Parts: sequence; structure tokens; C-alpha cells
Amino acid sequence: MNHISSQEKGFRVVTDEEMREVLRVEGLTKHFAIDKRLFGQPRKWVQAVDNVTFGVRGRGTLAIVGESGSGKTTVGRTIARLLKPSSGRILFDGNDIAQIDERSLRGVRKEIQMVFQNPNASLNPRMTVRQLLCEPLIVHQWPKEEHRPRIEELLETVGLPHSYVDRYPHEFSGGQRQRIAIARALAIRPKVIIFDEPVSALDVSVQAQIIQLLDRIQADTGLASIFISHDLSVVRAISDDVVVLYLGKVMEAGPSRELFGSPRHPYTQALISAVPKMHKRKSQDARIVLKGDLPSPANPPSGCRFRTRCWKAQDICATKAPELEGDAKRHFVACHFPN
Amino acid sequence: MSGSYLVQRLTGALITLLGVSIFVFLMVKALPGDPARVIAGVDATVEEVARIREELKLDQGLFQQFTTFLGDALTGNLGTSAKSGNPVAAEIAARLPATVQLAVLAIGVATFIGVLFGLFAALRPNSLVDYSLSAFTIGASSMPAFWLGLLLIIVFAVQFQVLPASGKDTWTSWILPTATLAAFSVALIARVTRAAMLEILRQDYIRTARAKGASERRVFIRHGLRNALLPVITVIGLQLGQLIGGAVLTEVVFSWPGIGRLLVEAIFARDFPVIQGVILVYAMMIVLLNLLVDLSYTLLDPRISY
Amino acid sequence: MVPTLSIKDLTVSFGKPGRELLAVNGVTYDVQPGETLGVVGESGSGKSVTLLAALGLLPSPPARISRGSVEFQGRDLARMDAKKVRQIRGKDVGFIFQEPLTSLNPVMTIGDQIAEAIVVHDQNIGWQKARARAVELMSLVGMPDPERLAKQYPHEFSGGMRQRIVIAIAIANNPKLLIADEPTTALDVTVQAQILDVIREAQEKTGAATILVSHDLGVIAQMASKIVVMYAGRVMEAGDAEDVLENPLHPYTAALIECAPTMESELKDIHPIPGQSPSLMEMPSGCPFHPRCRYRQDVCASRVPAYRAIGSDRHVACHFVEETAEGGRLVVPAAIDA
Repeated sequence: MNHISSQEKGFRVVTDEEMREVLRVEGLTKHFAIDKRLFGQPRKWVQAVDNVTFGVRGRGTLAIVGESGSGKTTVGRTIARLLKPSSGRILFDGNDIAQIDERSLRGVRKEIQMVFQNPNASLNPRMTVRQLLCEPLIVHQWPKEEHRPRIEELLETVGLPHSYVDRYPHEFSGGQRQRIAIARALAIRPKVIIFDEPVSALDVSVQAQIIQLLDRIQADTGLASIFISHDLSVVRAISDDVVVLYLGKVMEAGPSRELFGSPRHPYTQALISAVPKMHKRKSQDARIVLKGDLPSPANPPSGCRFRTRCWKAQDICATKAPELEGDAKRHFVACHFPN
Repeated sequence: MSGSYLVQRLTGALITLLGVSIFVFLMVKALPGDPARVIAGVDATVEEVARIREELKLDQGLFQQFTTFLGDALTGNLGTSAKSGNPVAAEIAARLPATVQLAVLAIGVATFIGVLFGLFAALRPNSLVDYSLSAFTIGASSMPAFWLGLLLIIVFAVQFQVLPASGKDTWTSWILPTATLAAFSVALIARVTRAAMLEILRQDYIRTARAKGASERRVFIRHGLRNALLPVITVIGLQLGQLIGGAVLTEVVFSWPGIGRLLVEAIFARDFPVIQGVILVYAMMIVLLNLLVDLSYTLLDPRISY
Repeated sequence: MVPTLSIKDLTVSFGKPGRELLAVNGVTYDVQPGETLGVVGESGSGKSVTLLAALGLLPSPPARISRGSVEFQGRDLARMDAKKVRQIRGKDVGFIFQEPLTSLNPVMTIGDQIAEAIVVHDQNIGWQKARARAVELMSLVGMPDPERLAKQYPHEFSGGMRQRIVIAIAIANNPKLLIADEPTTALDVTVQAQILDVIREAQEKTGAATILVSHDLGVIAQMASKIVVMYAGRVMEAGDAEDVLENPLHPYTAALIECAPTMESELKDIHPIPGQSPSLMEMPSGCPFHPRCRYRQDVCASRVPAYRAIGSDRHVACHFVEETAEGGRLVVPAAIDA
């Protein structure tokens, strides 16, 4: 099957098993209505996600990076079909799941799972670990005799002692709760898991545990994942590919090494530069401090959305939105004046 | 505030009132008893009843009856009392002030005592004030108004003979009905004030105020109270609606000449036009109060704008 | 030189005597005029509680200072009455908090909130003058069009702008000490860089000593000249910021540096610390870090290591750190997992 869309100039056809995309998003767009009226069409729309295209490779981790208001969470929720996309395609297993109905979604939900930032809110406090892990098995009609061994296996995978199986979420620490949430997402062996800021609420020392856990699970199961985060150092550590979003649009995308090694979009450069470095002596690069705040997504700038904060902005940036263009290394950038 | 929000809210209010009027109209139709026969009297002939029925347009279709009823109501014509023969609108107009005065007085008293009580309880949680508040709350909310009213009459009017048991003649006759009506609201307002205040005092901006070096009094009043007022105002507004509507029993117990007693009298007399009229007036006042409460938010909280 | 703030053996407990929990246990550090001290630690390390308690911002009861002293310019705040401490708070000590979204009063204009900080410490100035000063402060922290913005309410601003407002409040009375508690944690990374710059400028203008509390070693490294590493209510290590980060002596400091992903490290360079920080209810005996320490020995579970000076400029609380000619080093028989 040909996964490569014709618009992507210079896209190299890769036949390698590892490079095959399990999930592909094309032109994904999601608006939300604001200022609803009692009757008729809403007066105003927020374009939370605007024409976003990327592919998730098998066994790979694609990270979606962005600040608040970038639409990264909306992308995740739309792919998991917790939200219905306004337009665009979500290709999974050769099918477009963007607009399919609730009934057909059940099959998709088995394959695409989601883990959220706050495990306190996503785990029912009145259910024990056993019940929490059993639930997806029951919903997806696993044979009853397989429940017990599967739960043991899952706890083993996420590194929790089996003796914890009858405890309630409040008896665990934040990191342990996130392990339970991960086990729950893994329960029915999905092909893709979407992690929405899974380590942001955790202490640094525990963050590292979860990052390594995710890396190990991926190596063992061949799971593909989408990792949504605002934290560039975490993303840099665990991702194979990165998509940088700003006000709902892709600014830059490409293999992680490539993108962090030689960022081409001014926004990406600024983001990377803004991460405080632990060792002053080693970081010689001049810091780029962006002026101003993110504009409101309800009222984005014309042309390139980043132009109001960009030090390279010219007249053309206000009139024409730059196209996302790629090179032979699958490194894409949407900028009139890229590096 | 944009005009469109006001238009939206008014449209909503009108739809509510239309719903209420349909309900009231159908409810009366569904009740047993023939209004024409009531008006005509026990001795009336069949012809007389039929004539009255035609006069009252009771012989027409249900929908037509309703449109007539609604059209009349909109022009202020709520029909004629079957019992007294006076226009219903006039009867209500004569009785309404007494009800509204009593309710406003009661809510005023309840607000003053309730907010004060709640603030003290919030200032010293788990103190004597706090515990007596809970005791009072439980007491007041488990006592039905008619029972409390009778109790007050027995104690102050019969036993000690210091206050009148009924009527609206002297200022002293206001005391017992006001107390009866306010009791429940005091408890509710105090509880809401306490909860809101405790919640506010946990907020980060209270810490910011303390970090500025503001005095405790300043922290409590400037930063705490104003923020805690929003839920309290909501309760006060809704309570006022409750008091106007809920005064029925209190008015009966104290023979208060308000529309509550008018309603009860009308029910006993099967005076359907009056019943309809009073319920419509109640509904109108409650819808109006809700509207006022919502609009008052914009004045109190800059975050809310429509 | 008299330190601006000197905390000695400070112990903060919650709950009734006899059954109390120690959130802060014998913490000692100080900050000199003009200096920036970074206090780093994970949640539950007591890094914020120390300072909130020191300046009387913890509700008491249940919290109380059960031991130690807090000297602000030589005067002990722990033994001062609440009213006197209040006169120092906001005047000589400014606070910047973590959550700019919730640390401003939603129903008061921002101009008034800044002006209030001036008015409460100067009865004679009057609101009109204080408001004019508030406008000046707003332009000082980089807010455009302050005249107009002063009349607006907090919800009309972004997180970054609100944090600038909080900074304006903190520096309103030219404080001697600025305490910034996770000032950028809730902000986007591009805004974080701006706010750190604003804090730095504010500090330069007022000449205040600054204590920056953060869980982010990167932020601390950018801002602080001295560092205090806290864990489970105790100070583990303190010293010159660059030295400590380049050459950590305490196993916890070393582990904390190794577990944080950075823009320079690879996944294989990240070494998580096993387990999690202890809760107040289940504080380990001996050294609080010993259950997670890869160098732990028997003595670590039985004896609390003394917090002692190593070399000229370093303090460490570990049984196995020895002073050497170059400063100090960790001397242990063998690592547990190595």
C-alpha cells in the first residue's frame, strides 16, 4: 500500500518494515464553536487544529510538541476519536476512521488507546487495580479464564507487585498510578497508544522511571505511540519523530535526531533555546527569548501564525501562509525563511 | 454585556412562562368539578349552567379556550373570580403587596443574620459559633413553616400574649410571620456563606494578599467576602422566590392577607380563574427573580460577561 | 556581612504535639544581600514549606515552627509576633508564587492589587498615588500600555502577564528579599524564559537577595549562584551552584542530576531513582534517602548523617562524603546495583 501523499515533495519511499506507518493523519482539522447562539450557526469558530498531516511508524514514537493553545491535545483526542474531526483523514489499518460511526468505533478503540496526564482523574477511585484492569478485558469480551493471567502479566510489565491487585488508586503514589493507567491501556494489546503529557505531573525522579518503562514496553511489544508533551527534553529522549505545533498548525516535523540536531523553523529554534540548560559552561549558544505571548487561537494572525513573535518575519509572512515542505531526510518545515 | 444575551434570556423567560401557562390551563381543565356549575350554584337549572358555560366559553375546543385564555392574560385580563365576581387581576393586585412586603422583609432579615452567622462560623471553623450554626441549621430546616408558626403563636401570642397571632394591623403583627418565614432561609444562607467563605479562604490569592502584608481583616473582607458573595447572592435570589411562593402556609397560619391565602381560599372554593391567576403571577415573579440573579453576576464578577 | 535571611535548624511540624509529622526537619541555610539562592527538591521535600513557615504564611494550627530560628536581617521571625511579621511581609520580603492563574484576586483590578501592596505598608500615601506607582511598576515588569491595563481584571491576561503582575506586587516596596516559589512551573517554555528575565531584572533593580525554589535543575542552574538540595524535609547538600551541579557529592544530588532528561542527554544517559519520595507518614529511619540510595550501608538506616561542612564552600549530609584537598568525594565500599 502506498502511504505517501503526492503533496509531499521529496518524500523518499521506504519499504523497510520499521518505516511502515501504522497510522497516518492527513489534513486533520478540528474547529470548536464558540459564542454559540440559541438558534442557527455559531458566530465564531476556533480552529484548534488546522490541516495537520503526519504518520506514525511501527514500533516508533511520534511526539507532538507544542505550548498551551497549540492544539496538541486536540490532535490526540481526535485521533483516539474522543472528538470528531471537522475534516481530514485518519488512516488506520488502511481504513479512514475520521468519520465512522460509534458502532464501527468499537473496533478502533480496541486498537487505539489513550493515557492521560492526570491518573487521579482517569482512574475510577472506587475500583481496585484488578477491576480497573479487568474492565477493558470485559468490554472487549476476552474469555474469562484469560483475565487472571493477563492481569498478572500486565502488572509484571509495568513493574507493580502482584500483591497490589486489590488496592484502590488512592493507596498509590502518582508514579504508581500512572503505571496502572499504562497497564490498563495495554490490557487489550492495542497497536497504538496516545500518551497525553503522561509524565508532566510527576516528580523528576519518577518521570525518568516512566520514560524508561515506556521505552521498554515499546521494545517488547512493538507498540507504536504518539507522545504529546510540552517538555522538549523528555521528547528528545524518547521520540523517533517529532511534530512541532503552533496555534494548530505544523511548523516543523521530522525525525527526532534531525529536528533537534538542526532545527530549521525559527519557532523550533526558539523552543529549544528556551529550555534551561543544566550546565551553563557548556551551553555557548545565545539564548533566543521570544517576545510576547501566544496569540489567541480564536483570532490567529494572518499568513504564518508564528510571525507576530518571529524575528525573521517579513511582509510576505503576513500575507501568505508558508507550505509545509520536506527534504530527502523527511524533515518538513513551514517557513518562508527556514535555516 | 451584549444585548443579544439579554434577548436570549428574555426569550427563555417567555418560553418558560408560556410553558407554565399551558400547564396551569391544562391542570385546571383536568381537575374534577365543573366551574360553570360552581358559579351557577346548587339550585341552578340545566339551562342556566349551559348559559354560563357558553359565557365562559367552556363549550369551545381546548385549543381555542387556551388562546382566549392566553390573549386575555396578556392584556391583563385574568378573568373574573367565580366567588366574588370581581376581576381576578384586581383581587391579586389587592393582595400582592402584603405578600411581597413580607417576603422582602423576611429575606432582608435572613440575609443579615445568615451572612453574619456564616462569616463568624467561617472565621472560626469548629468553634462554638460553628457548632451552634450546624445545630440551628438542622433544627430550622427540619421544622415545617406551619409548625414553627403555630409554635410561635402558642408561645408569644397565647402563653405570653406579647405579640398578635394574626392580621397585619400593627408593626408587632409583622414579627411572628417574618420570623417563621425567615427561619429556613437564615439557616440556608448561613450555611452557604460559611461554605463559600471557607472555600475562598483556601484560594491562592488569599495567600497572595497575606504575602503583601495585608491585615487579617483586610484579607477577610476585601479579598474573601466579595468573592464569597456570588453563591450567596444566588441563594438569596432563589430564596426570595421560594419565600413569595412558599408563604402560602405562613399566610394561612397567621391570617396574612396575601396572595398565598387568596390561593388557598380559591382552592377551597374551586375558584379556578383565581387559582390560574395566582399561579401565573407566582411563575412570573420567580422567572423574573432568576433573571435578576443572573444579571447581578455581571456586576459582582468581572469574569462573567454576557 | 549580616545575611538577609538566615534559617537555622528550622523544624516545621503539622498536627498535635506527640503525634506530629515533620514537614521540615532541621533545615539550615542562608542568603546574602544581592545573592540568588536556588532551592531544589521534589514534591514533599519541604522546599516551599520552609519558606512559607519562615514568613508566617502557613495556617497555624495545624502547622507550627517547633524548633530553630529564622533571622531576617538579624531579627528572629520565628519569635516575633504575627503583626510584626506582617509588617515585614510584602514590604521587606516579596513573594512570587507558582500559579499565576489563581494567585490574583479575580474581582479586583490589577492596578488596585498592585497598589494595595503599597497602601498596606504606607497609610499616608493614599490610593491615588499608590495607583500611579502601580502603573510605573507595571511598565517596569514589561507590561505594555500600563495605564489602560491597570483597570483590567486578572482573567483578561495570559499566564505570563499575570506572573508579571505578581512580580510587580512582589517588588512594589523595594524588598530586601524576593522569594520565588516555582515561578515558571505553570508557564509555557517560551514564556518561562521571559519571566526568568523579568525576575533577574527586578532583582538587579531592587538589589534584593533572591531565593528561587524550583524542581527544575535547569532553571536553578540558569539563575542561582548558590544551591540548596532538599529531600524529605532535610537539606542533603548545599554549595556553589556550578560546583554542586558539576561535581555533586551527595548521592541524591548526583541521582537527581542523572535522572533528569536534558537537551544534552540521550535516553541511555537517564538513570531513574528507584522508588519514590517518602510521605510524611512513612519517613524512613536514618538517612531519609537510604531506601533509594545505590550506595546505602547498614549505618544509613540507623543513623541520621550530620549536615556538615566539606571544604570551604560545601555542606553535605552523608555518612560517606570525605573532605579531600580538591573539595570532597564520596567514599563507599561498593554500589548496590553496580
